[in-house]
Amino acid sequence: MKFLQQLELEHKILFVAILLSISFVWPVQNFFINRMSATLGQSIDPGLEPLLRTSLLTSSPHDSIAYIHRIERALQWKALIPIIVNELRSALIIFSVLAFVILFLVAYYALRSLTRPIKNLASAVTRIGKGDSALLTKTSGGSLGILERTVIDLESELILLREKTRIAGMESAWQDIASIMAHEIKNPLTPMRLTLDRLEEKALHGVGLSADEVSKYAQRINTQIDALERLVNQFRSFSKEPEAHCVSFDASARIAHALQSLSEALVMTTTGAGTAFADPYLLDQIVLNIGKNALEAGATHLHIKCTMNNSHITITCSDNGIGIAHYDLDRVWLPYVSLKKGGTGLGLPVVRKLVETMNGTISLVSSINKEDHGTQVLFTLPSTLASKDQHP
Amino acid sequence: MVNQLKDGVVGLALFLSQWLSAGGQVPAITLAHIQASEKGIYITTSISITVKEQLNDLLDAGIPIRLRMQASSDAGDTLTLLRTLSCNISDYTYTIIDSSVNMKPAYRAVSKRYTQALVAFKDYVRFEAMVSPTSRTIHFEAMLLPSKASQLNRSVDMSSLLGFQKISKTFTLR
Repeated sequence: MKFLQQLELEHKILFVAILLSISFVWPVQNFFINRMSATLGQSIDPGLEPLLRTSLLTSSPHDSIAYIHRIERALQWKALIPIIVNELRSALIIFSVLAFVILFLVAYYALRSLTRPIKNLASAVTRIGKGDSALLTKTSGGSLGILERTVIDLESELILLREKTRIAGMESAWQDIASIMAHEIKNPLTPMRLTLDRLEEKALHGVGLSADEVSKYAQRINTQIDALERLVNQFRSFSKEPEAHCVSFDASARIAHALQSLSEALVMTTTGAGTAFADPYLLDQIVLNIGKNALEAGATHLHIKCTMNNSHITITCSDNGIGIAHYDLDRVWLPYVSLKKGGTGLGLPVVRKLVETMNGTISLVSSINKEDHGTQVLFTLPSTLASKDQHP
Repeated sequence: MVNQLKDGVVGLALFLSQWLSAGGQVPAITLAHIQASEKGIYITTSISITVKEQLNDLLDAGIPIRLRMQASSDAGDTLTLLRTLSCNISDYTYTIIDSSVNMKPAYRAVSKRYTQALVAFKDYVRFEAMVSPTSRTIHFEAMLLPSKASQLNRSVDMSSLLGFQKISKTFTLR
């Protein structure tokens, strides 16, 4: 029964047709043969042969030949009836089989012609749903043809709509970039302008500046210039394919060194050790980004764990920040999407790009539970040259 | 009278043996007798066959059975006969007629009249041939020819009743 359920519609119809044909043709054929056999049997006069034989005994030698021929004819007809019936039966069976085969082929062709456009339509709709081409070129006639033409029109409409959406998306993205850029550039410019105004004010009032003050103002401006430079670097990192100069090095030591600049704000612990075959400068960038994100998420503690497995090193960075809601987890990898106020939305996308450049993988789990909140960034890097081209 | 009695007894025995047999006998050429002499090797074969009732009816209706029988040895001897079994419906006797195919002068032999179809059939499927004494193998072949219902002007194929269209066997003599 399961087999029958799995059959396609046209095969089911044909299967039923075969059963009906066999159950119908066989009795009909038997009925005709039996009727014919009976009719042929009735055509023999049982009294003819004895009559002819009696006549033969009393006939003249000249007439006896004619009687013998008559007897022969009656006997031959009687003897040939089973042969004639068998011949008819064979002919009927052959004709039935031939008719059945022809009808089967015609029915199969007709059913396929009927169901194939429906199948094509179904797969076309599926392809359209997946964003592929419908591949519908030839249309059938009748209602199916109308349906096919509708699907083709629908596909054209969808292509147009997709293009419009893409253009709108690009425009929107550019607007977002421009707004982010403006915002990010404006942020350091404001303190710089304030510092310069202060300097100008003092100069206009003839107030002299001590060496400490000059140093303080210069440092303030330098800090903002650094911020601007960092912003430019982040954009540049995202816009171009980073180059990785891979070497073997102690990953845990490198990470600990890279995160020293954040040690005043974060309590950092490192466990495990391992060798990575990667670009140490790119690794610095990765862990700094992760550390900065942890800091901005209000984390006070960052734990780094290095685990070696066959050909890869797995680095797990766990913080106790506010965490990310599960519905936002997928969005964090999208460029220009930031969950923080004033964020560029490029931090984690850049991190992912850097990891993938070094043939690694990255994933993120996070929790916003009150008792157990925080984010865990887990990334792998090759540990040997041989494993560089293999993904874990 | 004695011959008729003898035919009757043999016919009854043949009928009983066929009746008691399974009935599904596969036709085959079997060796019945072989005798070597200075003149040549005299060999008799027989086709083992089950005679169906329908075949008997056809025969009794005056439709003859025709076989082309051939014996050929590796020494180059070939004997080909056209053998016909027919029934005379005026007195229900059966006759076997042999006629030559490749013999010169033409050869034609008519058997005695059989009163029992089974006895006639027993002799009909026996084939005797003499080949040169140097022969090592002899090949027998029997091919069924179409019969004709003379009064209906209709050809009858009896192969389905006899169970073969063509049958052959090679015997190694030494």
